[in-house]
Amino acid sequence: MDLVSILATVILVTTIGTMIIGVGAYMAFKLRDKRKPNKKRSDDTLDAAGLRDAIFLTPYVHEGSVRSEAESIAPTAG
Amino acid sequence: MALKTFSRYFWAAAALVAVVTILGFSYSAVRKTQGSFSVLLENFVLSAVSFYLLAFLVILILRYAILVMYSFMDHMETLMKKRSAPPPKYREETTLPMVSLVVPAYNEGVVIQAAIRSLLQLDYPNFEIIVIDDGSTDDTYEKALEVAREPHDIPIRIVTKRNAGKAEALNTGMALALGEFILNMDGDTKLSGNTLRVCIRHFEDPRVGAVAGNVKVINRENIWSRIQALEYVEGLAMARKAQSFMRSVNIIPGPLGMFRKSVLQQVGGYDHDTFAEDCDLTLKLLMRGWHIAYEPNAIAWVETPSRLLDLLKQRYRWTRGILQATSKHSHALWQPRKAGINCYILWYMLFEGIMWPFSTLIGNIFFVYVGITYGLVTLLFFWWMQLTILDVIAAAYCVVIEEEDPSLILYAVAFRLFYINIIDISKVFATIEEWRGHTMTWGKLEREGKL
Repeated sequence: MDLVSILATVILVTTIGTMIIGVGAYMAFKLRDKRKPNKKRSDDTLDAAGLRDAIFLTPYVHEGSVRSEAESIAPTAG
Repeated sequence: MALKTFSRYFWAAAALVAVVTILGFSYSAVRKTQGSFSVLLENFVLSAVSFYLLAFLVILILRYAILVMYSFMDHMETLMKKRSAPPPKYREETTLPMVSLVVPAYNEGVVIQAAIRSLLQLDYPNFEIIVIDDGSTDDTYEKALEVAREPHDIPIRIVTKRNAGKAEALNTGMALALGEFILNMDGDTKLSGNTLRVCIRHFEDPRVGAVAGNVKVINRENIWSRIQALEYVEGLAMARKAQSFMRSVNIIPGPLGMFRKSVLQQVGGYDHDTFAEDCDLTLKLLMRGWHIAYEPNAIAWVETPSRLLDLLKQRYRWTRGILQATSKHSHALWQPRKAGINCYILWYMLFEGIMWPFSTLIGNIFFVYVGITYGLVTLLFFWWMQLTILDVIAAAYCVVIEEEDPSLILYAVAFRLFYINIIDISKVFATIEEWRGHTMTWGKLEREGKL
């Protein structure tokens, strides 16, 4: 067997191998994309639909004022 | 939409009818001859494929020859300009116009700080940085803010918005930019220090609407990324330099492109309807008659996928994106007089995007079949050899022109031996899926933070 024949056989095997790997890798990439959607970070500012509410649109209520309001209501209720 | 689908299937059916007609004509000829029909039909098909591959090879050799010649002429032109250049307008410190650097970032938490810090080191007196956090789900925004809060002289603005894609982020950056010129880049890119100075000189020519930069691979850590490094060097040193000679660069790369703000506004910024918004924008500029220059000394170092599946994901998106962009401007394909050089650019893109991968795949299947069936394996060897010789010559030329690492030339053999076979199969599937109108997602690559 001369050198060209040996090299030709190597190229033949490599070409068939890479074509099989190419198809397999493509299918693997498609499968991976279907199975593993992008992980979402658990974010308190996201609503149920996964959309972020702009913080400055939410009225700010100070914790202390809520507590004092509750305290002022409590004796009346009791 | 229905009309588009109908038109697509109509052309496919027309092509099928054409093939069947040719085979039908051959059938009557075959019937008159001696021997088995199947053998003669096989010979007929093999002869047709042989002629097709021969024609493809001629086009390929012409393509390499023309690109090398034009890129060499561009190289010589640059050297001549350096020697006999008139005093430039944009070289004095006081006359340098303001440039806005727009950095869109989606989940670039690993690399965003290094990217912004590298921008602060740029050698230019008058620029601002605008980082657009495109609704990242990681800590990109917080990390960008940390760098912005550090003491420095360069104005940095960090803007966060709902995720709406890179095109929308770049348009937001365009709207916020204060500079007369805008440099768009990726969040994972590191620029060479002289980028702004060397790019801005091209705008002395009022016909130049944009400048494309030189993209190089930073993470040359395994065979995949090293072959990609060679691919980038070849693509830029040969193809883009040749296109630059004709002032018609067909893709301003996402990692580094500088624009006149007025031109970006004139064409309406980036569109959302393709997955290769940089290619689409470039075609829009070309169709409006703007010249696009290439600056080899403005270097953007990027991190490329170092794993096979990530690489396929990237190439899949590129292929479909380029096909989408080409399809959007397909009217120029059939108007050579009106569209001028843009017509040839679109045909060139179709050759690279569709004909080349399909032809190499058909060639491989054909020669493997002939090799196994008729024992003519040497034909496959010579087919591979001639393609490899073309690749090695092109690689050697580009490595010399770009003053790159000479060891990259050796990867031209690996490129032809296995790399391009795998990539071409992915491109062929991407083309078929694009033709069939499959839905696709952006396909964000996972960054490893090699900057």
